[in-house]
Amino acid sequence: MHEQVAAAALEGAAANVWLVPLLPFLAFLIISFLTRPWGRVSAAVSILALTGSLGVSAQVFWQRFTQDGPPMQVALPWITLAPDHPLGTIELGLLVDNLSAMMLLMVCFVGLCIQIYSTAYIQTEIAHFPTQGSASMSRFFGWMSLFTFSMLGLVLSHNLLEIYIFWELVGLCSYLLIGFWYFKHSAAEACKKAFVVTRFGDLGFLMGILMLGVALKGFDFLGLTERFAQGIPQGLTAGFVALAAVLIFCGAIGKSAQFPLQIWLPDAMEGPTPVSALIHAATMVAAGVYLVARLFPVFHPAGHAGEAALIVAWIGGVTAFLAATIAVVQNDIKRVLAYSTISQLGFMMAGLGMGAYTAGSFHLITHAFFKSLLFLGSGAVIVACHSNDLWRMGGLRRQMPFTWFAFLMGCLALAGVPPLAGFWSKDEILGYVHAAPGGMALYLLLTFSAFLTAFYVTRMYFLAFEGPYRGVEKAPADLSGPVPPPSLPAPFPTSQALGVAPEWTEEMADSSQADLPAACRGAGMEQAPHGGHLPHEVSPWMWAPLLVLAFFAVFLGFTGVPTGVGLGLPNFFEGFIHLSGEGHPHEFHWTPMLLSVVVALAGIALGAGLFAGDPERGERRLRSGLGRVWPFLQQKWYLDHLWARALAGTMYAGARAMAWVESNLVDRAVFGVAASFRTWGDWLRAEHTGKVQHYALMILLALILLAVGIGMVEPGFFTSRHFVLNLLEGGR
Amino acid sequence: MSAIGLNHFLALGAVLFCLGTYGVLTRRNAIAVLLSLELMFNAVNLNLVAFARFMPNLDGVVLAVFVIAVAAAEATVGVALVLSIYRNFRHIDLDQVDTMKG
Repeated sequence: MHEQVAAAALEGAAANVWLVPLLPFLAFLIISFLTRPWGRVSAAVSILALTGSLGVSAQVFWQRFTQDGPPMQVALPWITLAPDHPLGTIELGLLVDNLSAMMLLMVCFVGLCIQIYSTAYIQTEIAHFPTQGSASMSRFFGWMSLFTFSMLGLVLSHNLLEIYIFWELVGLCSYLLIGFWYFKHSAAEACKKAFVVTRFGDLGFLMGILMLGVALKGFDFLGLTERFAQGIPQGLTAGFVALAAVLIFCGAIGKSAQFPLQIWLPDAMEGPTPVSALIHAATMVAAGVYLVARLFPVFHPAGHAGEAALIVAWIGGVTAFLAATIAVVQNDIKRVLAYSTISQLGFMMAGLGMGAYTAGSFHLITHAFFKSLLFLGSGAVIVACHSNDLWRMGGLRRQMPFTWFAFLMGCLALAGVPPLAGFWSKDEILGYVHAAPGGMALYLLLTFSAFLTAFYVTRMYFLAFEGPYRGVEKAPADLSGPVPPPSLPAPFPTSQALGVAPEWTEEMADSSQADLPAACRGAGMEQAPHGGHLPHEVSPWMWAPLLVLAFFAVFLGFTGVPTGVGLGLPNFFEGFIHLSGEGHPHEFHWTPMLLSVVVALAGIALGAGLFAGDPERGERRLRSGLGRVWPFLQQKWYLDHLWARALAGTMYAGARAMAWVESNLVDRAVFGVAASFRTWGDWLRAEHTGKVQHYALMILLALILLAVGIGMVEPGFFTSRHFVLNLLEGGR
Repeated sequence: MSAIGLNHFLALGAVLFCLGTYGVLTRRNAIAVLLSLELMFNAVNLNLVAFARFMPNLDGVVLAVFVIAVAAAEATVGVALVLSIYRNFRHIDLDQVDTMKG
């Protein structure tokens, strides 16, 4: 489309890049059509395919890393419009640049770790459901492969329309995998919620794509970014660009669970834990961040933050803060991590919005490693304890040494303790926001969120791994259980205000499981008696990937150490991922870095102070300390209620308007037609007296009328000679 | 006084036809309606025969013979209908036969 774009063709290892998404897709087909009855074979197929993809993407990454060059792409015509159509030909293609090469490697690597882990994990879950068997394992790996294909396709997308296709495909896979235990009512509701909520964002995304694509007569990323690199393209106003960018960002809000559409991600934890790790921590939810990074020049024309970038930054900041506060009060280990994910995605968005392109991408990568590690670790803990509830855990350090070690590393990385990965990347963002003009308020908000992060991570760690093992028997009844607890009243009685309650809430999910047969009950394992024995370490298939990920959680950060720190390490990451054209590495300041260390340690210290000794007493003190804020946080800031109210209000207003139209316009028209026919019918009916002589009279009158009519139209008809002759002579 | 021409016959036919029609439409007795119907047939026949007389061929006469045959058949059907009406209603007053009422 835009021939002026300087892009090379695919060369070297990158010429094989099409294999990267193709192999998982083939695995999906093979699993679906050939190996479905044999779960282990399906797992092997899926893992082999992903290993192949990993090999190719590692080569591609190495090629990009060693010979940094212009972005490479290949495109094939897909839809050819009319020759004089302004959009020309819409293409499908592959785009390989540093960002996508890095994302490819990350997705393949994390995905492989998670799939290896899943071989063991999914069998333990299947064992809890009598109706599920080997075919369920195939189903799992088939969909995981389909997801991997879609995600890799999304990363490699060459234009906006193509990324939209894969965007929806990952959404579909997310839907399928959240609802993997389709017979669980809660899972079915959660996958529906995830799908519908993200659809809100995707509507804006599509509108943004069309605005931008039609205005600039092309959808391809390189063409778009090229034209924005020098500022707002000619013929477009700043307002138009900002609106289009914000609309595109709506898609990212939905997919990356940003405020106000973050409500779906915690519920998505209904899916099996590896799904949460892969889709809802490492890859798909990061797609929104990837999209913003991909379109960075659109948000920052000529390197200056536009209004849209400010919106991105503040949405990210608010999300980071909001989710961090909610994570503090969660009891479900996966929900703590889910809110933590939302919060960290908010950090990335805030960074990208303030212009921290490198830092935002860096945090995306490190977060993918340590958060998938944490999720997989929580999965191991859940398998061992037969429960998601932190209050039924405790003391797992002694029983599960490998899991403990890996999980601890993940926690430290998430909390931002130097020198682990999360510290470097989060600090990059904070430092950048601190240095950015007008970023002070956002900086304070993010720093406070970082403090909360350290605090809730510490709480989670101590509840799960330290102290004595509590189990079902010793779990404090008043502290444990779902959040928000069913007894906690809603802020306003939605059912009375509108005649509707929220379609689905967690407490409903928990109570709805009572309807199911015991065999199918929600993680039915939660009710499984423990028999008094202590939890034990999970199989090596599960802890080995944990240790691999833990290695990266610890050391990955060293690839992006700011040069100012003086460790003598080059900043590989910044060298690899930076904005083309201008290199404006922000100046390094010790103040924010030291401050974030202090903040992280303070959060950990507070958490340890409360939960290290007697967690129950600490929790009670925390609750009394928070006072009335506590139920507010437990109700997730009442955002679910607010959505229910807003949606129900809109729906009901619309429904009332439609009802008025229906009864006053449509019905009246329809009934009017019917009534008119009835009137006519009554009138005509009177003529049907049943008396044969009346009918004869009618015939006579009609005949006369006919004759008179003919006579008027053609007066000579009856008097002409022809009339008589025709009668007499016929056809002679 | 001129000789009797075609128009005289046609006028007589028209009068007879109108009388027959009037009878069909107004008489209540079914037998009388049938009689009036015969009058209409014969008015038509008169016209046909008159045309045949004043035209150089016999088409009208042939047509009249056909009409007479059809009228005979019609009379049998008509009388049968009247009998049937009588059996069902015990009278042949057409004003009171209105089971075809819509």
